[in-house]
Amino acid sequence: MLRYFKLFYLASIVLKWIAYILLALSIYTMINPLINLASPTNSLRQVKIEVKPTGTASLAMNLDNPSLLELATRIRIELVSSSDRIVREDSLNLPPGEKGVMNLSITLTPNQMIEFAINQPKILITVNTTTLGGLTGMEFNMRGRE
Amino acid sequence: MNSGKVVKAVIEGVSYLAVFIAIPLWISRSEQLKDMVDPAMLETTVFLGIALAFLHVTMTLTSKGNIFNLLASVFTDFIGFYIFLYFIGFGSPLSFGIAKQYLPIGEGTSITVDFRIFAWMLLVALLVKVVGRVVEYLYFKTKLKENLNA
Repeated sequence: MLRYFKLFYLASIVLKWIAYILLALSIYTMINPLINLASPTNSLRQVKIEVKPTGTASLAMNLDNPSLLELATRIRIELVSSSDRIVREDSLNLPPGEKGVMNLSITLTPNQMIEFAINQPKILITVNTTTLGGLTGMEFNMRGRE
Repeated sequence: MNSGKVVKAVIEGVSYLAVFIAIPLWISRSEQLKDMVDPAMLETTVFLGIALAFLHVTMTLTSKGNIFNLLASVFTDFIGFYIFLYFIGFGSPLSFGIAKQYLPIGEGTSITVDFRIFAWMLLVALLVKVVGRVVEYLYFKTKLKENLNA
């Protein structure tokens, strides 16, 4: 029995190399979307805010960049006040490569209208991606802009 | 002691030191790379390189049935696993494969990667290897005893 210790080594090496190859594959798959997402000019950052006199504001995000959304499975958008309070959030689950426009409608109180007129709210965007059938994942957080 | 073993130990030790010290030194002096890598990460790499060099020299100079050989080889495996966790965790091995990094491209821009599956796979591979090391140690120890009795 003792002379079969090499079988343990073999099992360990095989498992280790499977992990290394899958890791390399996962990094290789993530690298392009990551470079695109990290670009300060990427189109996902563009958010259109429309404030109406009725106290309703509408946020629209254009999801028309297939290379950015190659792996995206979920997009979340948050409207954050100057005191870092989340005023409203919305999310959308996407099949990979989905295009379109994500709309988020919010109703602002008169105080929020005044606050947001003086201090522009922060828009936080979170893009979730998965690779290898969901075995690995990546979450990318960025500031949106008008 | 066998002079061939000593030469092998010296070559192995020097190779580990060269790789784990030369590469961090090159990164720290490179204009393009030095701002991208945390200096603490480079220091840890150098420290682990010294430890690995010492353990490999011990492994080469001792025989398979020796307890120091077993300890050195198990520690080497654990350090290898720690290095893996350190790199996939962007310098945080305790996060066990989940790494968060703020990017210098704007306030609040961050990336979080989840590589836990690889950490688990490597942990299982490590445990299997440690069992193999113990079985190997017992095998050679028994053989050594048999040779002494004969």
